[in-house]
Amino acid sequence: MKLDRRGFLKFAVGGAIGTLATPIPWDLIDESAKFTDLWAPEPAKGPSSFVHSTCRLCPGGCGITLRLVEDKSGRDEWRGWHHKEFIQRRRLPAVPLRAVKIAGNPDHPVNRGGICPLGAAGLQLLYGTNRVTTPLKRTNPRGEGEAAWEKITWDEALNIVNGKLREIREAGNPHTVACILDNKKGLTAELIDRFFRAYGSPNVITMPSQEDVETVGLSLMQGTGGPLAYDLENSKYVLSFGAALLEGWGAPVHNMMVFGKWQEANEHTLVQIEPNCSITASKADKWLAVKPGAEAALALGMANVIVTEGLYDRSGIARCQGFEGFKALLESEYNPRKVSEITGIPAAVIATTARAFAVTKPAVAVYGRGQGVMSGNLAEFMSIYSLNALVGSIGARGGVVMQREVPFKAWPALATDAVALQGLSQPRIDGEGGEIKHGVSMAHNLTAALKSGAVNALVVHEANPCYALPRARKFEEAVAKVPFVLALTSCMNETARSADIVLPVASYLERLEDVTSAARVPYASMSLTRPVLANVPEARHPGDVFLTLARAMGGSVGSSLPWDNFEALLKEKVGGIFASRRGRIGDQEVAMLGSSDELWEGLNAGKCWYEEPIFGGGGLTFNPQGRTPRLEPVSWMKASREYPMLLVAYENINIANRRAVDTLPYLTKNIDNTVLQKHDLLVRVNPETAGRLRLVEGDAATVQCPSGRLSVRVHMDVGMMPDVIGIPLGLGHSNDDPFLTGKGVNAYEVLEPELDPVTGLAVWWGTRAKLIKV
Amino acid sequence: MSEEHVPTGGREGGHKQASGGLGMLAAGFVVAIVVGWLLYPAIVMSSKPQPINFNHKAHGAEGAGLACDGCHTFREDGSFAGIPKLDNCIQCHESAQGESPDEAKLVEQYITPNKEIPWLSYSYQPLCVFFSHAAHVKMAQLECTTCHEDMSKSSSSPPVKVYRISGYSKNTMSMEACEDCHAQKGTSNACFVCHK
Repeated sequence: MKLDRRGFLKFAVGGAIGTLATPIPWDLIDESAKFTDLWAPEPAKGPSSFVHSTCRLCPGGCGITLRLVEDKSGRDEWRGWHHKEFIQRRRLPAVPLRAVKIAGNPDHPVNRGGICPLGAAGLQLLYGTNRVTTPLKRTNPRGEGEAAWEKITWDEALNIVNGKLREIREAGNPHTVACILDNKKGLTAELIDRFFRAYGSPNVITMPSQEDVETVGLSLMQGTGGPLAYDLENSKYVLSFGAALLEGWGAPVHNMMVFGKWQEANEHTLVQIEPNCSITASKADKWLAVKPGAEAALALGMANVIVTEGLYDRSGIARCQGFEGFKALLESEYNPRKVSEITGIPAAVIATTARAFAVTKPAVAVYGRGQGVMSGNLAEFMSIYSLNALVGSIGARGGVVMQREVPFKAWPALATDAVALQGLSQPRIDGEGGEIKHGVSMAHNLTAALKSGAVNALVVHEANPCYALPRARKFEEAVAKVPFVLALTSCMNETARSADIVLPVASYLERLEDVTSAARVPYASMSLTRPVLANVPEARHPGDVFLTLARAMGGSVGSSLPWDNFEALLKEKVGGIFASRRGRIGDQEVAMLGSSDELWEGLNAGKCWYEEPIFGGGGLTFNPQGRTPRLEPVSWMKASREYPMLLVAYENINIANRRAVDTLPYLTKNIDNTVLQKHDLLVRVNPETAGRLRLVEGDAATVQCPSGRLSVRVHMDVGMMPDVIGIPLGLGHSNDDPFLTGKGVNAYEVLEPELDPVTGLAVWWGTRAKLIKV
Repeated sequence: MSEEHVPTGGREGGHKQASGGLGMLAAGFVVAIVVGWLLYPAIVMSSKPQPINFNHKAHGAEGAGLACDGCHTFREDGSFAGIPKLDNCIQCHESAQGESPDEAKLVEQYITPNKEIPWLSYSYQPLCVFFSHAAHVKMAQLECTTCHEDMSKSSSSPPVKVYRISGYSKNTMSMEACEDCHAQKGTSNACFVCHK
């Protein structure tokens, strides 16, 4: 047989057919699948253990359970084809414990085993690629291009900080040091506040939040500062003025559990009032699409119906003051017909909703916009809050209550020397102070204060004002003018990038800390975050950092903060809870415990201290001091020819918006493609509005606002009110995190703070805008 | 005309030379079979001997009388404890009991210096798979031998065949095997059941 071309081809065909009857092709397909799979990281394998702790990613304070795997052998990291050295295994060093899962703790009173997407993804923060691993010192001048960093030791870093603070204090200018915190809840924040007061600076300023306007409103109406909480679980009729009850407001998991119970009981009504058909609105029994900014008018219109029809709670009103004047105001100015014009809601709907709210007991009106970060104005809060007094829900079961304080042992008296007293007598740089603005955040004034040179040193602790203050870019520019900036953070963020010294602090899974009272939950509670493992061994507890600094400074600062470490302080503070005999830990009454140590041990085993909500009739003053709630919305809500539309910010439960952490890296994969598509952020626009502007789904557009412009794409959404543009908060980072940087745009940059005429507080949930087709 | 068709490879020409062509076809087929079944495995897999030639038969019912779970234990939560540790061996072989060279090696190289034996696993799952023995053995009540070879009659430990490309063993299960059994038993074949 001669091998010619034909013969060869037949041989090849025979070979090909034969090959199909051998393992070669099937085996190689299988092998290539198994081989390429190895490019992914290898999960830890080994015996599991479980640790209870508390989540700190939002003010909800859920109990969590971590599953840890003993990772005895170390893990193999494979490098795939995309690396030059393919098929290479790199042995990673063994870590004693690897956290592999966060679940809800069924024994925690706040969340009862539930967990939200953000909480479940917390490990991304612990193992994130953007962690600061050692103290860093900036080597190039600030404001000149990208930051260049040098790794330094803790001793070196603290020496520099101590030297700077000492120098400023010795020059007699302690009040020129400012500190920005996210909030003042919890002992670490209190400790930092105490540090700066002993040092002589009144300028410990929190990031703005809704609690500021509530504090002012409550102190005017009720003589208390809050914090305001709601007994939603027992409320039969909930009138939510834009609070994102199911999307991250208050304690999100608690709310979702309550919502679940409502569905089972089938005797609760939720009315959601906001211009956008949010998830909460879509799940509500009724959605009232109100014109943005007209919420106050709507509340007063409803109050008018309740008062004129005599549906109000007479015994409740008897405990209130100023009712007659309020009644007269309502009757003269807020009849449903007029309110209908302002709000865009038919008068009949206002009346029927108001009647149902008044006759269903208990009922509650919830003030809020989104998750609770965006500030509204005082008139709005007072109008909405007044509804609660009309239906007798102040301090009532199923109504509003003031959350009690956790009975920690009181701080000892502050030691102050002459320099400290001199510094503390200075006004706060943001203009806080006076009768009604005590302790609230006026952070919108910081940009001007920093620019004026009033600040010699800025300390930013676990906050990101360069990203999350309204008009963030302007603030960032102002920070460049401050001679010395220190940032304490666990992940590199926009603010840390503008600092001279960056100190790595332990994440919430790496440190022992109190988490006090879940936001908006009607009772006080406290459980601990626990140092489960140390993924960044260099990271320190911020409380310990300030205690170390205090020791180094000595004098009044040192004697005001005499504790060896944060744990010693926390343990001493917990003694106060034991002494109060209040509440219970797990299923045990505190009053039945033998010693404070038992309580301490319980807390360290992951149990939660909490007490039953305490109800009691309360009254308020309607329209205090003649501060008439204004019908007119703040000026920027009025459309003009130049800016015919309103840009309204909204929040998303998957996107961490500001609170101590940035969005967790891989959670960006969980964001709906109507919010983010690759690098483009989508704004929500009503199809009618889009049509008028000749825009269709996915079109590129520019949002032009008085304070800047943003490049976006358009998502047409019939759930959005016409002439309103909905923009998500929490995207558009530039923090060098490969998963976040450049994803979308930062809405904070264009949100222009408008000042509340009564309080001077910033109102910044939206701004006037124009949408331009690109 | 037909002569001219031949070089162009037309259909008619093919029929004319069918007998000789079939011979080449068969030759190609046979060569492929030989290469695929005999040569290919030798090329694509390396053969790694176990550190000690373990005799299952001598330890099991016909020898020392140990049950399988005497050494292959499960933890309290039902999870599999992995390849037996040296502790199991020490209980009987603190010093040599017989004449076997493998036992001598065990005592000399591992028990005396108290060093774990680096056993090679025949059947480990790919890393992307979450496999729980608890779910299969405790809950679904599967026999070990449904997936693993019955070693009780074997008096030697065969070398482990390891693929040179992926580094996995020849016995590593393919997804097909998992899916077939899940389908038969009515268990979900959703992705996240195995790929967490």
